[in-house]
This record gives sequence, C-alpha cells and structure tokens, in this order.
Amino acid sequence: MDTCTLEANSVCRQEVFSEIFQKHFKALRNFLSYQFGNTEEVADTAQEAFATLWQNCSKVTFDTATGYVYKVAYNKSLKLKSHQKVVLAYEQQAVGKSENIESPEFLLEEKQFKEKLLTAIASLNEPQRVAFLMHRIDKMKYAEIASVLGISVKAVEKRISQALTTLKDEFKKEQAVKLI
Amino acid sequence: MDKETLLARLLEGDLSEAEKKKLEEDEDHDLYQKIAAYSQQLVVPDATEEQRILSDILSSSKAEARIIPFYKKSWFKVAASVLLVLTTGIAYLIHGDTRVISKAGSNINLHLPDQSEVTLSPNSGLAFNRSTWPFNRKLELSGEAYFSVEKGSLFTVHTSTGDVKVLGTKFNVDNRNGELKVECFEGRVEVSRGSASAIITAGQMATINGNGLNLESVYKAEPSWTRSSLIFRSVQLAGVIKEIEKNYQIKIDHTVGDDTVNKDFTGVMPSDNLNVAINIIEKAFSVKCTKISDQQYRLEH
Repeated sequence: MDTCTLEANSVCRQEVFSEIFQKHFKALRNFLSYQFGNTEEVADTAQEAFATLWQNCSKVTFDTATGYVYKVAYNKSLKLKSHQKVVLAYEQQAVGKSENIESPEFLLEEKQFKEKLLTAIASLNEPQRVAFLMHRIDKMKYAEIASVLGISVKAVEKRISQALTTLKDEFKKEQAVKLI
Repeated sequence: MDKETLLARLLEGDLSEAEKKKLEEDEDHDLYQKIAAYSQQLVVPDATEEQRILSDILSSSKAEARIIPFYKKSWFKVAASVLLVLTTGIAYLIHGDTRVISKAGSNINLHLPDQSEVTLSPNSGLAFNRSTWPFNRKLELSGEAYFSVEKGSLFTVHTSTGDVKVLGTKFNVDNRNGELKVECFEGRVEVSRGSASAIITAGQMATINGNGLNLESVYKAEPSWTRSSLIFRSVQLAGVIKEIEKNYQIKIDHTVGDDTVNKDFTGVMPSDNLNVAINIIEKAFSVKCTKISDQQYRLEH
C-alpha cells in the first residue's frame, strides 16, 4: 500500500514552500534589482516567479526549487528594461554604542566615503556589480552565486575581485585629484 | 596565490595568517579593508511586505472578463439596418439586446444592468434585453453560470430544460447534458419545469432530468469552478470529503469515528491539485491518508 501523503519535503506543502519563500524571495528580488533597478515591475516579476513555483509545486523537488524560481524569473525578466540604476542604502547603525563616539571630522569623512562608495559601485560593469552585490548584500557564498549565474566559482571570484580592484581605483582617482 | 584569489578570500573573510600578511604588504590594503567593511552594511531599501505576498501566492485565484455585445457582430449590423427601416418599435427592442458567449477554457465575469453579477463557465451563453431589464429581469442561458443577484424584483433564468426564479440570492445553474442542476448558496431559489417545481435554500441542489425533479444537499460555499478552489464555511468532515470525492472523481473511506467527524472546517483548498487538498485535510482533521488505488483513498488516525 503506498502512502498518498505528500513527502515531508514536498514543495506542495505550505510550510515547505513558505520556507523556500522566506529564504530566497528577498535575494531574488534584489538580484533582479541589480540588473533592472528597484522598480515595481521587478517586485512583480519576483512575486510571479514564486507564484509559478507554487502552481507547479508537484513538478519540482525541494533541491531544484531555487534553481527553478531563478530560471522562471530570468524568463520573465526578458521583458524588463535593462541598465536601470539600482538604489542602495546603508543599514541603520545602532545608536548609543560607546565605540561610536568619534570626532566630527571622522564622521564627516566616513559619510563622504560611504557616498563615494555608492557612486563607485554604480560605475561597475554589470557582471561585476551583480556578483559583488550578491556577495555583500545578500551574503551569498561564492558557490551559491556561481550556481545562480551559471558560471564557475573561479569565474565568480574573478568578477568580485575585479570589482574590488575597480572600486579601489575609483577612490585612488579622487585622492590623486585632491593632491594636485 | 594570485592577487585575485587573495582579494576574493578577503571579502569572504577566510584568509590564513600567511595570506593576511601578504595582503598587508599591498599599499592599498587599508582601502580594500575599508571598502569591504562598508559594503557589508549595504541594503536594498524595500517597502514590500513579504508576508502579504506569500499569503497572496498561497491563496491565488484567477478571473477573466470579456463581453461581446450582440451589435458588434458584423452580420447583426446588416440585419439591424434592415429592421430599422421596417419598424422603429422592433428596432427599439433589438437595440437593447445583449448576448454573451464564452469560449472553451475560460470564464467570463459580467455585471448585469442592476449590478447583479454573473460568471459564465466555458462554452456557455446567455442573452438578455438591456433596455427592458429594469422592468423585467429575465435572461436566457445555455451551459452553466453562477449568479449573484441583487435584491429586487423577480429574476428569471430561462433554460431549455426549465426555469429558475429568485428574488435576491447566490446560485449556480448548470444546464448541460440535457439536465438542469441548480445549486443554491444563499437565499431562496425556485426551480420549475412545466407544473413541477421546488423551492431550494442555501445548501441544497435541485436536479431536473428525464427522471423528474430531485433534491440533495451541497456543502461548498461557492461553486468550485468560479475560482479553482473549493471553499468551505463551517463544514464537517463528511461534507468536505463528499465535495472532494465529487470534484476529483475518487472515493475516500473515512471511518475515523470519535469526535473528528464533528469537527468544523472553514477554509479553501484547490480543486485542481489533489495532493495539496489531501495535505490540508490531514492537517485540519489530524488524520493520515493512505492510497489504496488510483481512485480509492482511506483516512484514519
């Protein structure tokens, strides 16, 4: 007699689907934002990708669900406008920490550095920017990034280190101008 | 180890002591560290409520609407111009006529002139007279439709197998396969053919066919085909199972005894995904399902 209950990790179980959603929705939406900007269309595309996963839950396994939802999102993203700017921000720092009592000069310098960093990131080419932000913002490991982008881990390392080098050069450019 | 890998490791935060020393020799080391530290604090600002999106997805439904006014069909334009020439009286009546026809595979939702709502199932059609509607709420139906009728004067649905009359209510009329099946979800509905008639209320279904007029009980709160869902409001296990059996064409043996049978269920389950529907029943009634064959299932504790 075979059991007709859903397997413990079937994607059609609400708790399993919810787990996949909580874990990957934000990262998927961010991933689309890095390429197409933080628009409503991007948020809708991410939502549609997960809705498609839910509708086809019986055709996907727990392990392949993430890859599936990224693939669906990619197909839907073909109709989005590319080269849109993504807007980033810094997370609010906790106030009142004793080690945060710094001089006004330091705070000003820090503010300028953070602003400059945003501009520098916007100047990265798309492959570098996407890989870099997936690592810094979504905290994805190199292996995960490689899997989503469909490239090797070595290729991911290359893109990210090139991003870091380009950013460093952007800062040095400004410093060189200041010295003159 | 080349510089590329060193930098990649720096961001990952897993440099060995020797590798750290090597990087410290680089003149830009401090700058790399600073970039790594601050980029760590970046976020994508977002106002979306993830929980709302998740619950929207889990309870999704679809609806479409398309109306083909009778007078848009080209052959009617020819006929209309001829009739206008003949008499203005007849032209007045035909000018108001509206015919709606649905294709295979999709529903059509529409509002009648008094804001009553109709959902036409695929391959169905209805016709009514827009201008005389305020005086006489009468329409013709072939196929199947779900009606939500505004309270008011008598509302009549005429089919080739019989008539349905209501004052203000929610009901489903199914006139396919030579039968007339009317399910009432709210209010009172009179179903008649010739001299035979019956008045049904919420939770009842009347069937008129070659064998006459029959009544039975229904447990859904709405027809399952208007959205792809079975909707239940405070229904006991036996009722839920009966609807699932009907919808999926299976038999479920459920002799669980004890007070599980009396437990009330209010919720939504898909009408096109048996696995998910069973999962929901298992959770709601604390039972386990076993498959005996493709058409036979059993529920027990």
